[in-house]
Amino acid sequence: MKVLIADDEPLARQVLRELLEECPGVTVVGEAASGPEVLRQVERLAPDVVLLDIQMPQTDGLAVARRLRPQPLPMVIYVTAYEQHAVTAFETDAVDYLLKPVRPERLQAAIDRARARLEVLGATRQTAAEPPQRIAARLGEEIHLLDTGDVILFRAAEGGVEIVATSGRYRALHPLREIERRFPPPQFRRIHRAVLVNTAHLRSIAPLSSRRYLLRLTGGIEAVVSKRMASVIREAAQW
Amino acid sequence: LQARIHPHFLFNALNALYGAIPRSAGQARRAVLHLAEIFRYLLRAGEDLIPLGRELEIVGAYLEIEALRLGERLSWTVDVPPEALPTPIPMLSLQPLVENAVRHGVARVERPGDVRIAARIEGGVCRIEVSDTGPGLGDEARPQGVGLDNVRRRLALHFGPGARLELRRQGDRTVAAFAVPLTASAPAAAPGEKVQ
Repeated sequence: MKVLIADDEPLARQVLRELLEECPGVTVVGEAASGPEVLRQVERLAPDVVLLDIQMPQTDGLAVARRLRPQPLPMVIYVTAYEQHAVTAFETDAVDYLLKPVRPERLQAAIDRARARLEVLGATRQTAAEPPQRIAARLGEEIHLLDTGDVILFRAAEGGVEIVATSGRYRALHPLREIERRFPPPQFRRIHRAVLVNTAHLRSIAPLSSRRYLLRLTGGIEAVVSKRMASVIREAAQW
Repeated sequence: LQARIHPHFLFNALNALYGAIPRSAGQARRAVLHLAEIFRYLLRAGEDLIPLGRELEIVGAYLEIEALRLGERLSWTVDVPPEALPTPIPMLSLQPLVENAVRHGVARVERPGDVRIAARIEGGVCRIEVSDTGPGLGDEARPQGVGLDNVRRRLALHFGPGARLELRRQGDRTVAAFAVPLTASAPAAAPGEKVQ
Protein backbone atom coordinates (compact mmCIF):
# COMPACT_ATOMS: atom_id res chain seq x y z
CA MET A 1 0.00 0.00 0.00
CA LYS A 2 1.46 3.35 -1.07
CA VAL A 3 1.30 6.13 1.51
CA LEU A 4 1.93 9.87 1.15
CA ILE A 5 2.75 11.85 4.29
CA ALA A 6 1.45 15.42 4.41
CA ASP A 7 2.45 17.73 7.26
CA ASP A 8 4.11 21.13 7.31
CA GLU A 9 6.36 20.20 10.25
CA PRO A 10 9.50 18.21 9.39
CA LEU A 11 9.59 16.44 12.77
CA ALA A 12 5.96 15.43 12.44
CA ARG A 13 6.69 13.92 9.00
CA GLN A 14 9.72 12.13 10.40
CA VAL A 15 7.65 10.62 13.23
CA LEU A 16 5.06 9.27 10.81
CA ARG A 17 7.77 7.90 8.51
CA GLU A 18 9.36 6.07 11.42
CA LEU A 19 6.07 4.67 12.63
CA LEU A 20 5.09 3.55 9.12
CA GLU A 21 8.36 1.64 8.81
CA GLU A 22 6.97 -0.64 11.49
CA CYS A 23 3.78 -1.29 9.53
CA PRO A 24 4.24 -4.29 7.24
CA GLY A 25 3.17 -3.89 3.62
CA VAL A 26 3.35 -0.09 3.68
CA THR A 27 5.61 1.95 1.40
CA VAL A 28 6.05 5.67 2.00
CA VAL A 29 6.12 7.04 -1.55
CA GLY A 30 6.55 10.71 -0.72
CA GLU A 31 6.02 13.68 1.53
CA ALA A 32 4.33 17.04 1.18
CA ALA A 33 4.49 20.16 3.33
CA SER A 34 1.51 22.16 2.04
CA GLY A 35 -1.94 21.68 0.57
CA PRO A 36 -0.94 22.45 -3.04
CA GLU A 37 2.04 20.13 -2.74
CA VAL A 38 -0.24 17.31 -1.58
CA LEU A 39 -2.34 17.72 -4.71
CA ARG A 40 0.76 17.72 -6.95
CA GLN A 41 2.23 14.66 -5.22
CA VAL A 42 -1.05 12.79 -5.46
CA GLU A 43 -1.09 13.45 -9.20
CA ARG A 44 2.51 12.33 -9.58
CA LEU A 45 2.71 9.38 -7.18
CA ALA A 46 -0.85 7.99 -7.14
CA PRO A 47 -0.75 6.96 -3.47
CA ASP A 48 -3.43 4.71 -1.99
CA VAL A 49 -3.49 6.65 1.27
CA VAL A 50 -2.63 10.19 2.37
CA LEU A 51 -1.81 10.83 6.01
CA LEU A 52 -3.13 14.35 6.05
CA ASP A 53 -2.41 17.01 8.65
CA ILE A 54 -5.44 19.27 9.00
CA GLN A 55 -3.57 22.45 9.90
CA MET A 56 -1.35 23.26 6.96
CA PRO A 57 -0.45 26.56 5.32
CA GLN A 58 -2.29 27.77 2.19
CA THR A 59 -4.83 25.00 1.75
CA ASP A 60 -5.72 23.11 4.92
CA GLY A 61 -6.18 19.36 5.06
CA LEU A 62 -9.97 19.44 4.94
CA ALA A 63 -9.92 21.55 1.78
CA VAL A 64 -7.35 19.24 0.23
CA ALA A 65 -9.53 16.23 1.00
CA ARG A 66 -12.53 17.88 -0.65
CA ARG A 67 -10.47 18.48 -3.77
CA LEU A 68 -9.46 14.80 -3.84
CA ARG A 69 -12.89 13.45 -3.18
CA PRO A 70 -14.79 12.52 -6.31
CA GLN A 71 -12.18 9.80 -6.80
CA PRO A 72 -12.07 6.90 -4.35
CA LEU A 73 -8.27 7.09 -4.07
CA PRO A 74 -6.23 8.21 -2.30
CA MET A 75 -8.02 7.44 0.93
CA VAL A 76 -7.52 10.02 3.65
CA ILE A 77 -6.36 9.44 7.21
CA TYR A 78 -6.37 12.74 9.09
CA VAL A 79 -3.67 13.49 11.59
CA THR A 80 -4.27 16.45 13.83
CA ALA A 81 -3.13 17.91 17.12
CA TYR A 82 -6.53 18.54 18.65
CA GLU A 83 -9.98 17.08 18.18
CA GLN A 84 -12.14 19.88 16.89
CA HIS A 85 -12.61 18.89 13.27
CA ALA A 86 -13.71 15.29 13.69
CA VAL A 87 -17.24 15.81 12.41
CA THR A 88 -16.21 17.76 9.31
CA ALA A 89 -13.46 15.27 8.71
CA PHE A 90 -15.83 12.36 8.42
CA GLU A 91 -17.95 14.27 5.91
CA THR A 92 -15.03 13.92 3.54
CA ASP A 93 -15.21 10.13 3.83
CA ALA A 94 -12.00 9.81 5.83
CA VAL A 95 -10.79 6.36 6.80
CA ASP A 96 -9.68 7.49 10.23
CA TYR A 97 -8.79 10.42 12.40
CA LEU A 98 -5.61 10.32 14.46
CA LEU A 99 -4.41 12.61 17.19
CA LYS A 100 -0.82 13.77 17.60
CA PRO A 101 1.35 12.44 19.01
CA VAL A 102 0.11 9.31 17.27
CA ARG A 103 0.40 6.07 19.17
CA PRO A 104 1.98 3.31 17.08
CA GLU A 105 -0.86 0.83 17.64
CA ARG A 106 -3.42 3.48 16.70
CA LEU A 107 -1.64 4.17 13.40
CA GLN A 108 -1.47 0.45 12.70
CA ALA A 109 -5.22 0.18 13.26
CA ALA A 110 -5.85 3.04 10.81
CA ILE A 111 -3.61 1.41 8.22
CA ASP A 112 -5.49 -1.87 8.67
CA ARG A 113 -8.78 -0.08 8.07
CA ALA A 114 -7.41 1.54 4.93
CA ARG A 115 -6.18 -1.80 3.65
CA ALA A 116 -9.57 -3.41 4.24
CA ARG A 117 -11.25 -0.60 2.34
CA LEU A 118 -8.72 -0.88 -0.47
CA GLU A 119 -9.55 -4.56 -0.85
CA VAL A 120 -13.25 -3.78 -1.14
CA LEU A 121 -12.50 -1.09 -3.73
CA GLY A 122 -10.35 -3.51 -5.71
CA ALA A 123 -13.06 -6.17 -5.66
CA THR A 124 -15.73 -3.68 -6.80
CA ARG A 125 -13.57 -2.55 -9.65
CA GLN A 126 -12.95 -6.08 -10.81
CA THR A 127 -16.62 -6.98 -10.92
CA ALA A 128 -17.45 -3.63 -12.51
CA ALA A 129 -14.97 -4.39 -15.28
CA GLU A 130 -16.40 -7.87 -15.66
CA PRO A 131 -19.87 -7.51 -17.26
CA PRO A 132 -19.79 -9.18 -20.63
CA GLN A 133 -19.62 -6.98 -23.70
CA ARG A 134 -22.48 -8.78 -25.34
CA ILE A 135 -25.54 -10.75 -24.40
CA ALA A 136 -27.39 -13.39 -26.37
CA ALA A 137 -31.10 -12.71 -26.88
CA ARG A 138 -33.86 -14.57 -28.67
CA LEU A 139 -36.08 -12.93 -31.24
CA GLY A 140 -38.55 -15.48 -32.59
CA GLU A 141 -36.39 -18.37 -33.80
CA GLU A 142 -33.26 -16.21 -34.12
CA ILE A 143 -30.54 -15.58 -31.61
CA HIS A 144 -29.22 -12.02 -31.60
CA LEU A 145 -26.07 -10.76 -29.92
CA LEU A 146 -26.80 -7.43 -28.27
CA ASP A 147 -24.19 -4.98 -27.09
CA THR A 148 -24.56 -4.69 -23.34
CA GLY A 149 -24.66 -0.92 -23.66
CA ASP A 150 -27.74 -1.15 -25.90
CA VAL A 151 -29.77 -2.97 -23.27
CA ILE A 152 -32.13 -0.57 -21.51
CA LEU A 153 -33.61 -3.02 -19.03
CA PHE A 154 -34.32 -6.63 -18.18
CA ARG A 155 -37.81 -7.49 -16.99
CA ALA A 156 -39.01 -10.77 -15.57
CA ALA A 157 -42.34 -11.67 -17.13
CA GLU A 158 -44.46 -14.74 -17.68
CA GLY A 159 -42.51 -17.29 -19.69
CA GLY A 160 -39.07 -15.73 -19.10
CA VAL A 161 -37.12 -12.51 -19.04
CA GLU A 162 -37.78 -9.78 -21.55
CA ILE A 163 -34.87 -7.67 -22.75
CA VAL A 164 -35.78 -4.14 -23.77
CA ALA A 165 -32.98 -2.75 -25.94
CA THR A 166 -32.53 0.27 -28.19
CA SER A 167 -33.01 -2.05 -31.17
CA GLY A 168 -36.21 -3.69 -29.91
CA ARG A 169 -37.59 -6.31 -27.53
CA TYR A 170 -36.11 -9.76 -27.05
CA ARG A 171 -36.30 -12.80 -24.84
CA ALA A 172 -33.34 -13.55 -22.55
CA LEU A 173 -31.86 -17.04 -22.36
CA HIS A 174 -31.36 -16.93 -18.58
CA PRO A 175 -33.39 -16.23 -15.47
CA LEU A 176 -33.25 -12.71 -14.02
CA ARG A 177 -31.29 -13.81 -10.96
CA GLU A 178 -28.46 -15.07 -13.14
CA ILE A 179 -28.54 -12.00 -15.35
CA GLU A 180 -28.30 -9.78 -12.31
CA ARG A 181 -25.21 -11.64 -11.19
CA ARG A 182 -23.52 -11.18 -14.57
CA PHE A 183 -24.53 -7.50 -14.85
CA PRO A 184 -23.78 -6.07 -11.43
CA PRO A 185 -24.03 -2.53 -10.04
CA PRO A 186 -23.23 0.24 -10.57
CA GLN A 187 -24.15 0.00 -14.26
CA PHE A 188 -27.13 -2.27 -13.72
CA ARG A 189 -29.50 -1.76 -10.83
CA ARG A 190 -32.49 -3.72 -9.72
CA ILE A 191 -35.34 -1.25 -9.19
CA HIS A 192 -38.11 -3.78 -8.54
CA ARG A 193 -38.31 -7.43 -7.76
CA ALA A 194 -38.69 -7.98 -11.49
CA VAL A 195 -36.79 -5.16 -13.21
CA LEU A 196 -33.08 -4.58 -13.74
CA VAL A 197 -32.23 -1.28 -15.46
CA ASN A 198 -29.11 -0.08 -17.22
CA THR A 199 -28.37 3.22 -15.49
CA ALA A 200 -26.56 4.41 -18.61
CA HIS A 201 -30.01 4.74 -20.19
CA LEU A 202 -31.49 6.79 -17.42
CA ARG A 203 -32.85 10.05 -18.81
CA SER A 204 -34.74 11.67 -15.93
CA ILE A 205 -36.06 11.25 -12.43
CA ALA A 206 -39.24 13.06 -11.47
CA PRO A 207 -41.08 13.07 -8.13
CA LEU A 208 -44.62 11.74 -8.27
CA SER A 209 -45.58 11.99 -4.63
CA SER A 210 -43.56 12.16 -1.46
CA ARG A 211 -42.61 8.50 -1.64
CA ARG A 212 -42.41 7.63 -5.31
CA TYR A 213 -40.41 8.72 -8.32
CA LEU A 214 -40.82 8.27 -12.04
CA LEU A 215 -37.72 7.12 -13.92
CA ARG A 216 -37.61 7.84 -17.64
CA LEU A 217 -35.28 5.72 -19.72
CA THR A 218 -34.20 5.81 -23.36
CA GLY A 219 -37.02 5.09 -25.78
CA GLY A 220 -39.72 6.63 -23.61
CA ILE A 221 -39.71 3.72 -21.18
CA GLU A 222 -40.89 4.64 -17.70
CA ALA A 223 -40.76 2.99 -14.30
CA VAL A 224 -42.06 4.03 -10.90
CA VAL A 225 -39.62 3.57 -8.03
CA SER A 226 -39.41 4.33 -4.33
CA LYS A 227 -37.58 7.40 -3.08
CA ARG A 228 -34.78 5.26 -1.72
CA MET A 229 -34.30 3.55 -5.05
CA ALA A 230 -34.36 6.86 -6.91
CA SER A 231 -31.38 8.05 -4.90
CA VAL A 232 -29.54 4.79 -5.51
CA ILE A 233 -30.09 5.19 -9.22
CA ARG A 234 -29.02 8.83 -9.13
CA GLU A 235 -25.85 7.82 -7.40
CA ALA A 236 -25.21 5.04 -9.87
CA ALA A 237 -25.58 7.49 -12.71
CA GLN A 238 -23.05 9.76 -10.95
CA TRP A 239 -25.20 12.83 -10.90
CA LEU B 1 -6.27 24.50 31.32
CA GLN B 2 -7.66 25.35 27.91
CA ALA B 3 -7.86 29.01 28.90
CA ARG B 4 -4.14 29.08 29.61
CA ILE B 5 -2.65 27.05 26.80
CA HIS B 6 -3.66 26.54 23.22
CA PRO B 7 -4.26 22.81 22.71
CA HIS B 8 -2.79 22.89 19.22
CA PHE B 9 0.43 24.33 20.58
CA LEU B 10 0.58 21.77 23.38
CA PHE B 11 0.03 18.67 21.28
CA ASN B 12 2.17 19.81 18.36
CA ALA B 13 4.95 20.51 20.83
CA LEU B 14 4.59 17.07 22.41
CA ASN B 15 4.60 15.57 18.94
CA ALA B 16 7.80 17.41 18.02
CA LEU B 17 9.32 16.33 21.32
CA TYR B 18 8.38 12.74 20.51
CA GLY B 19 10.14 13.09 17.15
CA ALA B 20 13.21 14.67 18.70
CA ILE B 21 13.66 11.74 21.09
CA PRO B 22 15.74 9.01 19.44
CA ARG B 23 13.78 5.93 18.45
CA SER B 24 15.96 3.83 20.71
CA ALA B 25 14.72 5.72 23.78
CA GLY B 26 11.43 3.86 23.83
CA GLN B 27 10.67 4.63 27.45
CA ALA B 28 10.99 8.39 26.93
CA ARG B 29 8.84 8.26 23.81
CA ARG B 30 6.15 6.32 25.62
CA ALA B 31 6.23 8.87 28.44
CA VAL B 32 5.44 11.60 25.90
CA LEU B 33 2.47 9.58 24.65
CA HIS B 34 1.23 9.11 28.22
CA LEU B 35 1.61 12.83 28.94
CA ALA B 36 -0.35 13.71 25.81
CA GLU B 37 -3.07 11.29 26.82
CA ILE B 38 -3.33 12.88 30.26
CA PHE B 39 -3.42 16.44 28.90
CA ARG B 40 -6.07 15.50 26.39
CA TYR B 41 -8.17 14.06 29.18
CA LEU B 42 -7.71 17.15 31.35
CA LEU B 43 -8.69 19.41 28.47
CA ARG B 44 -11.98 17.54 28.15
CA ALA B 45 -12.67 17.50 31.85
CA GLY B 46 -15.91 19.11 32.94
CA GLU B 47 -18.48 17.84 35.37
CA ASP B 48 -19.28 14.91 33.14
CA LEU B 49 -19.59 11.25 33.95
CA ILE B 50 -17.23 8.89 32.22
CA PRO B 51 -16.90 5.09 32.20
CA LEU B 52 -14.62 3.80 34.93
CA GLY B 53 -12.59 2.00 32.25
CA ARG B 54 -11.79 5.27 30.52
CA GLU B 55 -10.58 6.90 33.70
CA LEU B 56 -8.49 3.80 34.43
CA GLU B 57 -6.62 4.37 31.16
CA ILE B 58 -5.62 7.83 32.32
CA VAL B 59 -4.69 6.45 35.74
CA GLY B 60 -2.48 3.92 33.93
CA ALA B 61 -0.80 6.68 31.91
CA TYR B 62 -0.27 8.69 35.09
CA LEU B 63 1.25 5.73 36.95
CA GLU B 64 3.60 4.98 34.04
CA ILE B 65 4.95 8.50 34.25
CA GLU B 66 5.32 8.36 38.02
CA ALA B 67 7.15 5.07 37.60
CA LEU B 68 9.74 6.90 35.50
CA ARG B 69 10.46 9.13 38.50
CA LEU B 70 10.17 6.62 41.31
CA GLY B 71 11.56 3.56 39.58
CA GLU B 72 11.28 0.39 41.63
CA ARG B 73 9.83 2.24 44.58
CA LEU B 74 6.47 2.29 42.87
CA SER B 75 4.48 -0.78 41.98
CA TRP B 76 0.76 -1.05 41.45
CA THR B 77 -2.02 -3.50 40.77
CA VAL B 78 -5.38 -2.93 39.15
CA ASP B 79 -8.06 -5.37 40.19
CA VAL B 80 -11.19 -4.38 38.30
CA PRO B 81 -13.52 -7.00 36.80
CA PRO B 82 -14.65 -6.34 33.21
CA GLU B 83 -18.28 -5.86 34.24
CA ALA B 84 -17.26 -2.85 36.35
CA LEU B 85 -15.53 -1.01 33.48
CA PRO B 86 -18.65 0.69 32.03
CA THR B 87 -19.73 2.07 35.42
CA PRO B 88 -20.18 5.83 35.10
CA ILE B 89 -18.06 7.83 37.51
CA PRO B 90 -17.42 11.57 37.69
CA MET B 91 -14.47 12.46 35.52
CA LEU B 92 -11.32 12.81 37.63
CA SER B 93 -12.78 11.19 40.72
CA LEU B 94 -10.50 8.15 40.74
CA GLN B 95 -7.34 9.77 39.41
CA PRO B 96 -6.86 12.21 42.36
CA LEU B 97 -7.13 9.28 44.79
CA VAL B 98 -4.39 7.46 42.92
CA GLU B 99 -2.32 10.62 42.75
CA ASN B 100 -2.70 11.02 46.53
CA ALA B 101 -1.69 7.42 47.10
CA VAL B 102 1.49 7.98 45.08
CA ARG B 103 2.39 11.40 46.43
CA HIS B 104 1.56 10.96 50.09
CA GLY B 105 1.77 7.18 50.32
CA VAL B 106 4.58 5.88 48.14
CA ALA B 107 6.78 8.86 47.27
CA ARG B 108 7.24 9.97 50.88
CA VAL B 109 8.87 6.80 52.14
CA GLU B 110 12.16 5.31 51.04
CA ARG B 111 11.15 1.68 50.88
CA PRO B 112 9.21 0.35 47.89
CA GLY B 113 5.51 1.05 48.06
CA ASP B 114 2.45 -0.35 46.45
CA VAL B 115 -0.78 1.15 45.16
CA ARG B 116 -3.80 -1.02 44.63
CA ILE B 117 -6.85 0.00 42.64
CA ALA B 118 -9.85 -2.28 42.99
CA ALA B 119 -13.50 -2.22 42.05
CA ARG B 120 -16.33 -4.57 42.98
CA ILE B 121 -19.95 -4.66 41.98
CA GLU B 122 -22.12 -5.56 44.94
CA GLY B 123 -25.63 -4.66 46.03
CA GLY B 124 -26.39 -2.53 42.97
CA VAL B 125 -23.39 -0.26 43.40
CA CYS B 126 -19.84 -0.25 42.17
CA ARG B 127 -17.41 0.10 45.02
CA ILE B 128 -14.08 1.63 44.06
CA GLU B 129 -11.10 1.51 46.34
CA VAL B 130 -7.57 2.88 46.19
CA SER B 131 -5.09 1.82 48.83
CA ASP B 132 -1.41 2.36 49.45
CA THR B 133 1.31 1.14 51.79
CA GLY B 134 2.29 4.62 52.91
CA PRO B 135 2.54 6.07 56.42
CA GLY B 136 -1.17 6.63 56.72
CA LEU B 137 -3.67 9.30 57.64
CA GLY B 138 -2.45 10.21 61.08
CA ASP B 139 0.53 11.94 59.56
CA GLU B 140 -0.18 15.63 59.56
CA ALA B 141 2.03 16.03 56.51
CA ARG B 142 -0.77 14.31 54.63
CA PRO B 143 -3.39 16.98 54.24
CA GLN B 144 -6.72 15.97 52.86
CA GLY B 145 -6.21 18.61 50.27
CA VAL B 146 -8.06 20.35 47.49
CA GLY B 147 -7.95 17.16 45.44
CA LEU B 148 -10.09 15.21 47.86
CA ASP B 149 -12.51 18.09 48.40
CA ASN B 150 -12.96 18.18 44.67
CA VAL B 151 -13.70 14.47 44.52
CA ARG B 152 -16.23 14.82 47.35
CA ARG B 153 -17.93 17.68 45.57
CA ARG B 154 -18.18 15.79 42.29
CA LEU B 155 -19.54 12.66 43.93
CA ALA B 156 -22.18 14.68 45.81
CA LEU B 157 -23.08 16.61 42.67
CA HIS B 158 -23.81 13.48 40.66
CA PHE B 159 -25.01 10.99 43.22
CA GLY B 160 -26.10 12.96 46.28
CA PRO B 161 -24.75 12.50 49.79
CA GLY B 162 -24.98 8.69 49.50
CA ALA B 163 -21.79 8.47 47.45
CA ARG B 164 -19.50 9.45 50.26
CA LEU B 165 -15.72 9.32 50.05
CA GLU B 166 -14.33 7.28 52.93
CA LEU B 167 -10.77 7.42 54.18
CA ARG B 168 -9.50 4.86 56.62
CA ARG B 169 -6.52 2.89 57.77
CA GLN B 170 -6.83 -0.85 57.29
CA GLY B 171 -3.91 -2.97 58.45
CA ASP B 172 -0.78 -1.48 56.95
CA ARG B 173 -2.69 0.23 54.14
CA THR B 174 -4.34 3.58 53.72
CA VAL B 175 -7.64 3.21 51.94
CA ALA B 176 -9.74 5.73 50.04
CA ALA B 177 -13.07 4.38 48.80
CA PHE B 178 -16.36 5.44 47.33
CA ALA B 179 -19.37 3.71 45.81
CA VAL B 180 -21.44 4.82 42.83
CA PRO B 181 -24.73 3.51 41.44
CA LEU B 182 -24.58 1.36 38.31
CA THR B 183 -27.53 2.97 36.62
CA ALA B 184 -26.53 6.52 35.59
CA SER B 185 -25.74 6.80 31.91
CA ALA B 186 -22.23 7.89 30.95
CA PRO B 187 -21.40 9.83 27.81
CA ALA B 188 -19.69 7.87 25.08
CA ALA B 189 -15.98 8.27 24.35
CA ALA B 190 -14.85 11.28 22.33
CA PRO B 191 -15.22 10.94 18.57
CA GLY B 192 -12.15 9.90 16.71
CA GLU B 193 -9.93 8.77 19.48
CA LYS B 194 -10.64 5.42 21.04
CA VAL B 195 -8.01 4.48 23.48
CA GLN B 196 -7.88 0.72 23.73
